[in-house]
Amino acid sequence: MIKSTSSLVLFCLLFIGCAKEKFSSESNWLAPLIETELTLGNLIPDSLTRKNNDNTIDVVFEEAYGITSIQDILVIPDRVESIEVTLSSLVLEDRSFIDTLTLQEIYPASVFLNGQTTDLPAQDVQTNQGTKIDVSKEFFSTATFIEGWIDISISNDLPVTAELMDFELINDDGTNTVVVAGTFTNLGPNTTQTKAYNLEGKTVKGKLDLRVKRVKTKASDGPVLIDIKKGLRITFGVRGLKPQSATAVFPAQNLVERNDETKYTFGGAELTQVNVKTGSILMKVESSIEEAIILQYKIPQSSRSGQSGPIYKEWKIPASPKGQRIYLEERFPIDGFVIHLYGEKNTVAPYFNHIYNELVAKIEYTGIERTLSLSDKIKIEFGLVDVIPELIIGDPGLHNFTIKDSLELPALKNFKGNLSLEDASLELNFYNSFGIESLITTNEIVGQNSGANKKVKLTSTALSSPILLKRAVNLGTSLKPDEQILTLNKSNSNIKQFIENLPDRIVPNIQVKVRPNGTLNQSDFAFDYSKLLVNFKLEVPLIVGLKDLTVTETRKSNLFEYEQISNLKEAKLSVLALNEFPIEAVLELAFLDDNGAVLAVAFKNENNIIKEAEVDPVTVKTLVARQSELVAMLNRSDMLAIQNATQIRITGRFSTTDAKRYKMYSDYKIKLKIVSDITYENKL
Amino acid sequence: MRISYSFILVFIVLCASAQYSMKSENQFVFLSSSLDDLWTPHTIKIELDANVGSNSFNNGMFNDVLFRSGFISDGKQTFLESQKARTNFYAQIKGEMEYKINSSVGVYAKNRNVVGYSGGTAFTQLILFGNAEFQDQKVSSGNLNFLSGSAVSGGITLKTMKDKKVSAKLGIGLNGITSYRQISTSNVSLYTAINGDFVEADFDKFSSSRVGTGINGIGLDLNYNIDFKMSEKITLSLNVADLNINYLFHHNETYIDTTLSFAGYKYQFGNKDASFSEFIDTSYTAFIDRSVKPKKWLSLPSNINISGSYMVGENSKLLLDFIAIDFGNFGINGSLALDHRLSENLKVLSALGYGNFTGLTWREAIEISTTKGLNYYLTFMGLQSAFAPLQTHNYSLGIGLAKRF
Repeated sequence: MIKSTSSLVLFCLLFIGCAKEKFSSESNWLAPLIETELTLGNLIPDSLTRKNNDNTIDVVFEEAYGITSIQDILVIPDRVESIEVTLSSLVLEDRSFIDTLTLQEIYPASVFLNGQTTDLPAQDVQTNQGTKIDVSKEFFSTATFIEGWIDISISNDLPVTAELMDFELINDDGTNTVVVAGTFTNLGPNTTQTKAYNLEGKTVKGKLDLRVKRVKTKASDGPVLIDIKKGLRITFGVRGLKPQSATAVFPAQNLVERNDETKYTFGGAELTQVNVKTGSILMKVESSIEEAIILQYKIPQSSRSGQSGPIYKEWKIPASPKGQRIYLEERFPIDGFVIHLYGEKNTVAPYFNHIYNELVAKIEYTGIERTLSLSDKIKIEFGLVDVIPELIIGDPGLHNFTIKDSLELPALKNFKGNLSLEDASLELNFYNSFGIESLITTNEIVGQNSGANKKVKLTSTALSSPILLKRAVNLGTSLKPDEQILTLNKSNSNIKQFIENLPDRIVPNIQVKVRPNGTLNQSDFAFDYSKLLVNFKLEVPLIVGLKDLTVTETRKSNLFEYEQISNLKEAKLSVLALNEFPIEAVLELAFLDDNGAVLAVAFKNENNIIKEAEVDPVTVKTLVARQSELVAMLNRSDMLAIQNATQIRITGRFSTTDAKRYKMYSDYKIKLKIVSDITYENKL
Repeated sequence: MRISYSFILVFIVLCASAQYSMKSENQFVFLSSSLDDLWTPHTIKIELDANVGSNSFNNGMFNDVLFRSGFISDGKQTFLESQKARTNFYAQIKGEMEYKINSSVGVYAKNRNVVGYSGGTAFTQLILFGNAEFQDQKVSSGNLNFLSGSAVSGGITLKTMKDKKVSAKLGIGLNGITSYRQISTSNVSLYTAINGDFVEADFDKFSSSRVGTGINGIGLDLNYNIDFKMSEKITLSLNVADLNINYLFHHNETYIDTTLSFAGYKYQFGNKDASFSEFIDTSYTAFIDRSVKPKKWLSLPSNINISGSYMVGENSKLLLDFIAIDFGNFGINGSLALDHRLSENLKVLSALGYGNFTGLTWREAIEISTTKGLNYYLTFMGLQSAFAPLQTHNYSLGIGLAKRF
């Protein structure tokens, strides 16, 4: 048993120790990978080429450069003004109230003499009783005044002289606060005396008690006609009332009346007229007033075609609930309006940059009693916002600015090496559709080849003098721009060398002087579609000689994400090329990781040349495509590295024989086919 | 995994040898049908069997796969030079246990993994070793069929009939499909242009389906055996094993009936929008996706076995055996065997046969029965590969253990 067990353990150890490697077998697969055709159209976009009748190609590059919007030279700023209104400007109407102290009330026994002509005895009545007076409908329910007067007039309708009348006007609210107290003396028959009493700081109720504390009348000189209904007629009149707070039925009144010439600044420009393309009037209201407010805003010096009347807008702000605030924000579009900027009248200064506007905030008579106080307020923000002009008229002012924005040519970034051109020309079309004169000075135009770190400055006698662009002419329905054209070619400039530098960035330095010679009657103008441009038109006949002109294209690829890629042991890549170009191409294929680091390279330094096609010496055109086969071997380590590749970089290095120039034809092409011969490891 | 199976087999054989005893009366359960004839309660039988066979693949290749890291022997070259029109291959690893509960009822459990393939030899060579050797050739195969699957089963066994002449046994249980992959086509071909300039694949009624791990479907498993004793010397038997039908959960099958041509990814200089994967998607994937249909039913290969035995002596009999796997789709084999009882507790069997999926077969088996109620069984096929591996196309190793409690 022990022997058997020992044998078993020994056998187990033998098996464990002899654990073999994983089995794998290889298979060889031939498969096409990529098929493509390269024409000039692939290298140069159609938009940049012009095919001639003989199938030769010119490269034509056009780019406009300059000011293409009125916004580039002038912006109408938002102008929002803010005002705050309190009840200090609130008024109560002047009102009056009449009460009569009759003979019957002074001398009750006179009721037996009424209508008789008899002697009337002297009277001297003293009392604490008063007469109830309710002026809450005529005046207010209650009011505390900052300012205000009550006028008390006493007219004596008795047939005797009133020697003395002593009275008090008391709030009949339980507090018995004396509002006014006074004395009138020696008031002859059919005469009137008036006294004014200041209400400042006083609180007056609508229910009052008129207490005549003493009335003393003389006896008649003889018989007089007794009329018990007549007596001392008292007229109460209130005026100049400015309440601190009041509970009353308020009359219709303007809280705000504001007529103003709002000044705008346009960075030195003096404008007399703006035609609004788009824009709005902003009205923001915050109110704690317990009464509906009517807001009216008007720009009288404005008009719109097809519409009568100027810019006008009315808003109604509802009454605020007690202790709360009401908010309103609205924008009223004023698109299409013409606004004059000469203020209220064009006959007096200011003549520019001022917009006359009127704002009214008012309450209307509602017949409803409201309680208002000085702490109630209304805040109003208003003005023109987001105004984009369609046309401006005036004096733009003298301006100097320099255009230095670089012009990027990313398509040329992938090119390196030497290019030799037969010819090149550059047309510079200076164009002005502003109604403003401009002086253009081309300080310099530099072409930068950032890859080679090489700069070439464009030089030409044609660029040496400044160019004066006159004002465009406004024909009513259209504009007649001013244009001037300069043509640079190899006889008057270094344009050929400029292009041969393969610039991927053009950096101009162009100075523009706006309105260099002043303006007449502030009549310069600019439409929103006005432009001040330099149109570049570059024409290069594609007759080129190349020496190691290198084009690189890097593309993302998820080809290597597949798990099976790890089973690729080695690969042979064959490129079958049929070349119709008279250009030799040297190919390189690099596999890169995310950071652009090269993991493996195919077609490096050997078996990587696509031979140029032969050129017919008579027609100087290739007749037959030339076939080449390029072979690259990727070994096991290359294949392992490629598994981490996320990008493929294809580099072509092009040369013509001895860098000689050849015409390029649109029907030239290279047919390429990449075929793989892969050794695949099948693992079990 | 292959190492593990080999180890287990050797381990059990060693165990069996260690318990060998010459004493007692004997009952043979692996090289005879006495287990089912007697249906002795509380008896357990465990059997493991692994076999691989092909009409074209040779044991040199099998040896390379099993014991080496690559095709080192001449087996691969012999296969490449094969003149056979078709290449067939079938391999199975099966483990089965049965326990007799009482005199007429038992339970069983089994696990099996099968791989079957049948296709044109040239096309098989292309699949295994690439298309580089087939430039400017259209390599095709009719009736290509590939199946890989595994299942676990469990159920009851019943003694359905027993008299002097006839005895029959039924096994019925549930089947669980744990993995499955099938490819079949009535015709498939691949043309590879010179230098791989383009490739063109023809698919005629091509279908492909696959499921992942876990239980992907359930079904019924049926097993039936009937022995008919014609006379004292002649017995005829019919055995149907692993007959099954299964319902698959959420499973699809892809059908392709078209010609696909590939001349390379149409790369456009300057166009950075199109990627290689998008090109594949738009050119092929969308088309393939449209051809996907649900697949509900699946049947793994079954075995149908007809055999006859003839007693040629007191201790010997001749056995003539025919077996069809998956109704012949994965092979038909015939063999003639001599079964000889060397002693009361030792029995051996030698068989020679031929199959369209195995070629010539030579099988040896031995069973030892002990007085303690233990039976040990070992069988091996392909012995001739020891001296002629390139001419041998099959391997089989089986072990068994039975115990009466």
